[in-house]
Amino acid sequence: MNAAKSIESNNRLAEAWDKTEKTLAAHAAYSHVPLGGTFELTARCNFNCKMCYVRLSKSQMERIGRERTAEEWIALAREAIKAGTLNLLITGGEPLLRDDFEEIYSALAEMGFIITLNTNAALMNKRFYDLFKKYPPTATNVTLYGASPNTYEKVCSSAGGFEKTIEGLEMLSSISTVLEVRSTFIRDNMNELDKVRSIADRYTNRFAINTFVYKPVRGAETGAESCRLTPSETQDLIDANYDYYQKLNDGSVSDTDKETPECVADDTRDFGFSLPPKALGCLGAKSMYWITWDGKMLPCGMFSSPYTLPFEEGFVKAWNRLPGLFMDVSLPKKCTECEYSDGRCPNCPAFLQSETGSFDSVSDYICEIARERALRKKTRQC
Amino acid sequence: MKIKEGYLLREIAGTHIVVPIGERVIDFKGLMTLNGTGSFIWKCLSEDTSYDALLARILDEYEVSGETARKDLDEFLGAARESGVLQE
Repeated sequence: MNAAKSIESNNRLAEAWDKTEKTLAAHAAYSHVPLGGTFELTARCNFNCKMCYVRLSKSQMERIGRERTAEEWIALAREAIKAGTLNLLITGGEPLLRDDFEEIYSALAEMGFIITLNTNAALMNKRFYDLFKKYPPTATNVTLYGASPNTYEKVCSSAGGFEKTIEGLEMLSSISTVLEVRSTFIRDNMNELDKVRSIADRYTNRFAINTFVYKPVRGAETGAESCRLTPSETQDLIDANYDYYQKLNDGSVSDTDKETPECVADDTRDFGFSLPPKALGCLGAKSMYWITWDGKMLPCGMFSSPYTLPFEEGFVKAWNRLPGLFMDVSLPKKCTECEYSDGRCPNCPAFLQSETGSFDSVSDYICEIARERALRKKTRQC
Repeated sequence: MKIKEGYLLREIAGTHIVVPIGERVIDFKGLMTLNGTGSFIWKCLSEDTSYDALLARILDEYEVSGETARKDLDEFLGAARESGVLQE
């Protein structure tokens, strides 16, 4: 396939897609229809990234719960379809690591979901290539954490992972999918923005930087806090990327402000309304949900609790109970009265819980992000 | 003419949406939303039928003039051909 033609076509389709999806999301939120969901098939991963918020080893997982079987995911998906789920994100961990991925994915692909796949691409092989040729995900997000084996060793503890990722990207770029490359920058790869973006440009012009590095959640024990950049350093990278695309001005798509790496929720302010639970300023628990590898339903993957149990109580009951669990949640008074609570602060209950372990404590890290954002905004305006 | 295999008409949050399933994702990206008439025509096209038969069914279902029905049908068929979902 002609690469330039493919990219142009992908962007046009993606723009049309975004437009339609938002309108539908608004309808769904008003009616409390679970339009968008995430199936986090596993917390296992072939990489061991320093900054990962979710990765667990097999023994860690066994202490917490159990991976749900293919049969269970497929049965739950049937319930989700009936309840109105259209957009489904398949993520992990690394979902391709599951031996039964093909079984689960094929079944989901035949059900009528619009599927997005998150993967690090390093496990792509002929079998998965054939699978995605036959059943292409509508969109595929590939993480790229560096521009050399050395960087992959430092960030992901896998020097060989770099070449594997590039091979995977090669394969995925010839699949009929909207391909996006995403990167997270920490101390070890912070100087590689240009190189990473340059690699991404070979395969797609959809390149995004994950803005925040979250502390590990739900039992994960990675070292995000010690390797993440300061808000100022992160903002430098975001600004540099923004400037790059501004200068390029060729219609390339850069989403430089991904609030969460796996964010499934748009801000309800985009639609001009706010629905309960009021503390969630997004569509989580309103038209979006996340189901963890061990079967907990949450408004988004950054939460640890409270949750419902769709595999045990049934999808619809779990979905209907979910908002009620967050009705009494509120941000700390200091946050709601803060001058940056006008949207410049990225605070939300999920972010706060991942940073502090509760909804009641203020996070210095989040405060610093808010101050930095406000400062940059002011500078840009001058 | 009929709708090709591999498309699902789903009603979600009061909206009729055409979703490609399985291999059809290759040919069809994004979403096609249908209004009430469009949804009715789509369902009629789940089986092989003719233009005149479709027109008759629309006139039977809706209290509209022949001219309006023809216009609606032509509009639908034009969009369906453009999206590649129609088998003729």
